Amino acid sequence: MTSDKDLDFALGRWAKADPLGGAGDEAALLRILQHADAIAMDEPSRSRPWWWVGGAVAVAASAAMALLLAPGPIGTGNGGKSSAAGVGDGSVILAQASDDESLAFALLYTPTSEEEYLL
Amino acid sequence: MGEHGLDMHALNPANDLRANEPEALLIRRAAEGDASAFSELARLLARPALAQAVRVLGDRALAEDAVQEALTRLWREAKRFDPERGSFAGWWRRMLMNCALDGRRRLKPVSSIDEAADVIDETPTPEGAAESADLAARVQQAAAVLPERQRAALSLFYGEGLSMAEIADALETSEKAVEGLLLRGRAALKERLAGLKDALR
Repeated sequence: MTSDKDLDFALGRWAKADPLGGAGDEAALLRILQHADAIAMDEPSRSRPWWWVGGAVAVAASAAMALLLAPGPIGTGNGGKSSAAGVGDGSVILAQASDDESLAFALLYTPTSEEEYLL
Repeated sequence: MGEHGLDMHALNPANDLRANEPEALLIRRAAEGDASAFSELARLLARPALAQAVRVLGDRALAEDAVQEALTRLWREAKRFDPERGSFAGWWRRMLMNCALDGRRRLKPVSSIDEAADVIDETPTPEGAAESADLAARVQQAAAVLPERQRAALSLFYGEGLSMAEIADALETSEKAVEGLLLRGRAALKERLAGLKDALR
């Protein structure tokens, strides 16, 4: 069995030996330094305040959309009174499929038989 | 290991010297946007960082990737370095180890056994160099089966002579955990190197 002293000696040799030396290692070092130069030239500023501004705008927009689309008391303008959401009590708005606007939309985008033939 | 451990604390840098480290001065300039200071700093750090990453990861391609990532973080986070809170060496070591031990990189295959013969030592005499390189290569081969965190702890302890607290800081863990990493790593290596007793003398 290897003694502790031998093991310490071997580990010391391993940990202090330079594992680099081949041409491949020199090439790797060169690539690393080129990479370092490139990032320093490409990214002159590290504070990036616009990241915070952009993030804040995105969060605000998401929150606004969520509030507008929420079926609960916040988006329905009932003064913050909570009420159970249910069909018929005004808190849920069902889409109307038979109103004039929908019909006009359907007519506008439904091709006639002549148009279908051309398509 | 106890005797070895006593020596470690003597290597701790004095706090009042931290701000005067050459690297600390360069990172301060880099934080102000000085690209040439950062390039100079990268030239100081790259070689030892790559050597350390190769020891920890056992794979040159992964090590190169880790060092590049660490340097990218160094540039981006240069402003966050505060000499009041610790030395630049400790801050950089933690960054490098964090990148080297990144879980995503650990999923990639390691080919350290094939590369073990490439280990080179700078001992002056040719005979000593050959023996030393052979020994280092054998340990590298044996260490290839260890988990990366154990290799990192062993490398920092025996190579850089760091204290438990410094290794714990570098690996972002507790001193107790470092002790466990070192004990388990040594036990596994001792077993694997048992047949190499003659080579170790």
